[in-house]
Amino acid sequence: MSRAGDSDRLEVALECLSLPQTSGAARQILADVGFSLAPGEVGALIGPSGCGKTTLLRAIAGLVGVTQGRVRLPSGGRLGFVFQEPRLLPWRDVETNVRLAAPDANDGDLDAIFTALGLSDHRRDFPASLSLGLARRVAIARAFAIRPDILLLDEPFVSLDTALTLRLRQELMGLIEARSVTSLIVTHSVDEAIALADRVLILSSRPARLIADVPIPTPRRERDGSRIARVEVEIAGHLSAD
Amino acid sequence: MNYVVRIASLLLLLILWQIGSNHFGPRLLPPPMSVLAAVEEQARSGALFVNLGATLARVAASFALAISFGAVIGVLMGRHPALDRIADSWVVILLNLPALVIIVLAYVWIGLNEVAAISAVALNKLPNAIVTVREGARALDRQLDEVAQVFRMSPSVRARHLILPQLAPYLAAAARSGLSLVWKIVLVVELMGRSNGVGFEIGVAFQLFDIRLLLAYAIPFVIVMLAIETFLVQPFERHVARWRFRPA
Ligand SMILES: Nc1ncnc2c1ncn2[C@@H]1O[C@H](COP(=O)(O)OP(=O)(O)OP(=O)(O)O)[C@@H](O)[C@H]1O
Ligand SMILES: [Mg+2]
Repeated sequence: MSRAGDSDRLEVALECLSLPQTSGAARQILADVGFSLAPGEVGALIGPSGCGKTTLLRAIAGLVGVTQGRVRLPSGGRLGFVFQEPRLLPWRDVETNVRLAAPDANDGDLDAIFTALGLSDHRRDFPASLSLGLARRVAIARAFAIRPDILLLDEPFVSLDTALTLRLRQELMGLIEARSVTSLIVTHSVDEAIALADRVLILSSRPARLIADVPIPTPRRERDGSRIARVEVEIAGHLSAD
Repeated sequence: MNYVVRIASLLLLLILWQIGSNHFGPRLLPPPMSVLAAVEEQARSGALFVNLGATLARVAASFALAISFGAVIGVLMGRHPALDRIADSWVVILLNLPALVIIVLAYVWIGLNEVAAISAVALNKLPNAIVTVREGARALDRQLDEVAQVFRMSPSVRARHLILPQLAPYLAAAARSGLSLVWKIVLVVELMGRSNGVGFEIGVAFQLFDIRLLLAYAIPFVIVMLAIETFLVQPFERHVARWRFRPA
């Protein structure tokens, strides 16, 4: 384990994560989940609904304690999180929302992020006046503005229409590639996982285990129907076997 | 239209007052013009402004004390259940202690001075402020707390941009109900143990059975408090809620 740059990887080695239920008893949510992401690598996390995807992201972010095992963030440790809901401060405008999370961001960098996400005209808008798609973009901008060493995204495109999803995917991938940010994206869509990720991590249902770690060898731009059909079948197989 | 009705109703009140005065006699109910003349006398001698000023200063000091202590204690109790369990019964007792008991105890324990007067009024308002702010602290958005945690926002950023905006409506509510409570209690405190202020003058008027003097202080005071309520408290409430209605 002396490979150069090891400390720049995200290392997840969870053996158990239990959460107290309203009944009082603790329930195991995550069992064996072990993987690591190299710098700039994009992982997609898929699994049945309610299996513990959000909980895994929260454990990586330190929002919930790990019962057994450990998580190591890439050196630098700056973590950007795009929650399942946009979670903006309703009483602050778009730009302030981003600046409060990233007080050290310089103006040029913010300009670039706002432009890449099509937010330039909305800097002074308040969250209540934004559509869901725009609010999601602000949440993405906030996560990029801190110049993260690791970026966690929890179903960033859920409940957007198809056209908007495709556009936002492109904008997001543009930013991730331009900055080569190590990223972990939760999604419930196999298509999306294949379109975005270098590797697809598949979780089983409760307690969640990592049942497969499928690399997507084709370069992102060349992933059209025929080339990825084989991976699609492989992932579908894993999901139905569970 | 609204204004017309309001002015008409005030005029009607003046007419009823005049009729009542004719009926009961000027000693029991002096007519409006005579009270107005008394206000002018008190204003000309300067006594009206000295006493109004003294009372307003007491209102401001005890109000500020009650709201700021109430805010801090309310947030602590709202966010720390253990503290809440300990202090809750104290708050309930204070809430149900008659104002008069607090005032008398303050004068007996602290002495017949300004500190006692202001603390007594503040203590009367405090439990109410605590309960209102505690409600706000319990309703703080945990999702936003997590955002602050993940993005490592500093305590001062959290206080200013996360907590305060969420508490503002509760603080406004506490301020609104607090002001009307405080200015009524200040008069009692002045009556019982101070030698100036609107409450003191009303006490003097009572001893002399001088209803004209009593009204000459009571009416300008009510007008000042209504003005503060309309031009200070209500705009603050609207300011606090502005982000909810921000147009696109
Ligand atoms: N704070 C919590 N306390 C106790 N149990 C929780 C908590 N959060 C989630 N759970 C439980 O953990 C399990 C996994 O939830 P989680 O939200 O991680 O799943 P998910 O895969 O993200 O689901 P979805 O696809 O619906 O987003 C669920 O059964 C849920 O009830
Ligand atoms: Mg989830």
